[in-house]
Amino acid sequence: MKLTTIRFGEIEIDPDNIITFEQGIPGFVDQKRFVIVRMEEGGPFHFLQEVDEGYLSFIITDPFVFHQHYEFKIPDTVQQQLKITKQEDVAIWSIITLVESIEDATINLLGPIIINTKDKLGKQIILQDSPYLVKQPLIKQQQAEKRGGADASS
Amino acid sequence: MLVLSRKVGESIMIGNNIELIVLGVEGDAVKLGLDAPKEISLYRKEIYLSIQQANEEAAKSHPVHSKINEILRNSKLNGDK
Repeated sequence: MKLTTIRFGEIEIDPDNIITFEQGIPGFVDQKRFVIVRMEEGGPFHFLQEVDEGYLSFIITDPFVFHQHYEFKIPDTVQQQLKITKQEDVAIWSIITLVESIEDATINLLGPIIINTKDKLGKQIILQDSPYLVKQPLIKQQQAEKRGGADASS
Repeated sequence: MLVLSRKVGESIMIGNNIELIVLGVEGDAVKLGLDAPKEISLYRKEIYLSIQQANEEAAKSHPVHSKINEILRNSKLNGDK
């Protein structure tokens, strides 16, 4: 199907790839259907593009590419909400805030996006009692990790 | 806004399925218990607001598609570590 977007103009998407966020996402609770758009050039960044109105899109990345020690437990309530039955069906993405340069970019590690890729259900969860930041530096953390995670604060 | 006073041990029902219980008071901190169905997520408000705000900024701060590629080309990014 064709989709008209602000970011990409008109693009073709496969309706089978549409992921439903039943509760929307914080700040955009009425936007419930998204697709993941990959960059043709490859690389670690993709886009989470809303499909019904076309103007909302987020830059996302696989957080484990930048933060190898990132870990958290997906709460049982979320596993139930997203009908997750197998680890292999789970995809995890983090929203990036990027304005001018990669060096200043931040990644939201406190609010990862969890997707059940089999049933095409998604949700942005908020980790409880977690040391990760909403605006964790995307790049500089490599120095922070060497200091033993001294940056961590909630 | 409904304003109520509750003593320690007393509860409020929100709808049919959510219960808020006052478990204790220590100084100016109130300990609350929340019983809710699994479909409902519960958060400290300031944390929810910080996620909301971060999403709003992330959604606005989009350099156009081509500029992202330019940023990547100009950066010393090593995504393979």
